[in-house]
Amino acid sequence: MRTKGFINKNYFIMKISKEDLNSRPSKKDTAVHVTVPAKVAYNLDEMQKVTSIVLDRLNCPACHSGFDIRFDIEKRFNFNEDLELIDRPRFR
Amino acid sequence: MNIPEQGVGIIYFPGFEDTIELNSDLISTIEIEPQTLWTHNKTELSSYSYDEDKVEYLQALDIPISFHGVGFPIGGSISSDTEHINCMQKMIDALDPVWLSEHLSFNKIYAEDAVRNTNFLLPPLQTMEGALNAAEKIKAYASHFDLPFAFETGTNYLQPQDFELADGHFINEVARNADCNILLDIHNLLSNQKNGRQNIFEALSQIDLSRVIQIHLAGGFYFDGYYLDAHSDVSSAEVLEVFEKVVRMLPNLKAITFEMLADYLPAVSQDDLRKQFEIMNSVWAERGKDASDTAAAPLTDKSSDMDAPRLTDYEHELGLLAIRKQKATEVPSLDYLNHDKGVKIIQSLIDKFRKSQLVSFAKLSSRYIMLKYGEEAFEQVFSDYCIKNYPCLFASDSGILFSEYLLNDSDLVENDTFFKDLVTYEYNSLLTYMDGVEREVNISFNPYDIIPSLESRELPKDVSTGNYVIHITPEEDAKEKVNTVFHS
Repeated sequence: MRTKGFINKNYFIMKISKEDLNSRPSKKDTAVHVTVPAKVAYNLDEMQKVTSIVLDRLNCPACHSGFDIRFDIEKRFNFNEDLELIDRPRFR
Repeated sequence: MNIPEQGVGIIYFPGFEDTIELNSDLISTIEIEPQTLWTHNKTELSSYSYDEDKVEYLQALDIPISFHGVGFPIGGSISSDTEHINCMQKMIDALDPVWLSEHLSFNKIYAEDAVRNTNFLLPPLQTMEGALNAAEKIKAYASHFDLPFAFETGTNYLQPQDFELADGHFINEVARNADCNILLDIHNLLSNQKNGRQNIFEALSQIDLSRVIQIHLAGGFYFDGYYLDAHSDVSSAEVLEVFEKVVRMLPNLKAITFEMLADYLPAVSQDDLRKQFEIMNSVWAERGKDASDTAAAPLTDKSSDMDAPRLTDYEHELGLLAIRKQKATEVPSLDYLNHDKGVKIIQSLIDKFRKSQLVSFAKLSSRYIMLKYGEEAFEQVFSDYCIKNYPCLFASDSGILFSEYLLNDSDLVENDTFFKDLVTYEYNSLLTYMDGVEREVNISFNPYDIIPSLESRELPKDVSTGNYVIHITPEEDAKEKVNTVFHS
């Protein structure tokens, strides 16, 4: 089974094919087995320093009484100023 | 305890490594917020562990470190859980800090038969009852550690009330009764002044300044008419002008520390940061030059003559309002909270914080909801989630709780099997990242086929569906974290 390339310098593991990732049909059934490191689900945005270190923020919040800007960043990149969905991220 | 002088420093967060290295000639001390480097492990014995890589980095810096606690403030009536003491002590053993500080605030309330977190450092009740309570909590907390202790003067977005002690008097009463040091946060006091509370120099005139061992310096911005202690930038000229005057007034100052969140690093130049440290160093040289022997202004306590709220009522009602668990308080002495715009500001900030946690740690699910169903749908999901769930101190717990909410309580999942599988995959990834235990989930797609689309903020298209068994494996560092759990 081949899969198209998924190039992302944050995830070295994604540079290799599915076969190399233990993707294998089971002998017992038709299920496809895929091995995925837990971290993969969280490191999506290499271009944003804020979110590229997202797993460093799983802990206690820092001392401040201000704004957490991560939601606004996420919203800004999903929608334009009129809150219309944008087709592709503008930073690419 | 004899406290050595530390000089100019910065609070370390991951992301500040370059700044610290580039300004090593101007930075002579580092402050850390220990709990920002902790993991809350939901094991059989719930416990905490710290990031050993970060501690090794800090050890390698080989400069004095101080600890600034977050998460377990000393201004409330509910004592800190002692479960975290072991982890704190282990970190103290590893990094040998010169002192420990915590916040004169509260972030816990009793509600529905349990202690709940507010996700925000709320202002303590400024009466003698509040001051004596805080002093008692400080003594109890500081007794766990063989370190000098200081409390930080906090931000208060509420308007001053007639029954309250003045800000300066309150701070002084807490310090006097606890016989401890003060971490004077100039940006907090200036924020309070700008938002309608006491003038910073009037407050200082009511404080025994010999107790001030540390200053915090920061930058902020206006939001909806309120100046926020946002830690978003270098300090403004106005803040620096106040800072210079205050430093000269302090006879026993040991450190001045700049605090900024790593979130804002992309927007602040290294040149501006260096200038900040240069100014701090030049002002540090002026410390104590205008110090006087004038005693703190005498206390005027009006609270006994007024209809002051009780401490536990105040915390309970303000806490529930802040996290939107109730719309208004019916306690007569707290009716002013129903009309104070500061409560709405706090609610907005907590909302932003909770939403930010969700888009960070339920990132795939949140992004999918916004892309497929729109922002309004996300807001509805968020509102319903907040009605049914209390905030969590640790972001990991919030991510887990939100995924569980989506799987168990959300109509979106019920009607969208693809989304259900996505949440299932993400939920198990977070659990595995936290506890290091490999998991297996059966879903209808290969995550590698859909993550690129969501990364590009597109809904996945033409995804091959079938019977996929996903083996979610811990990374090496996750396994190490689990091995360093300290059971209490």
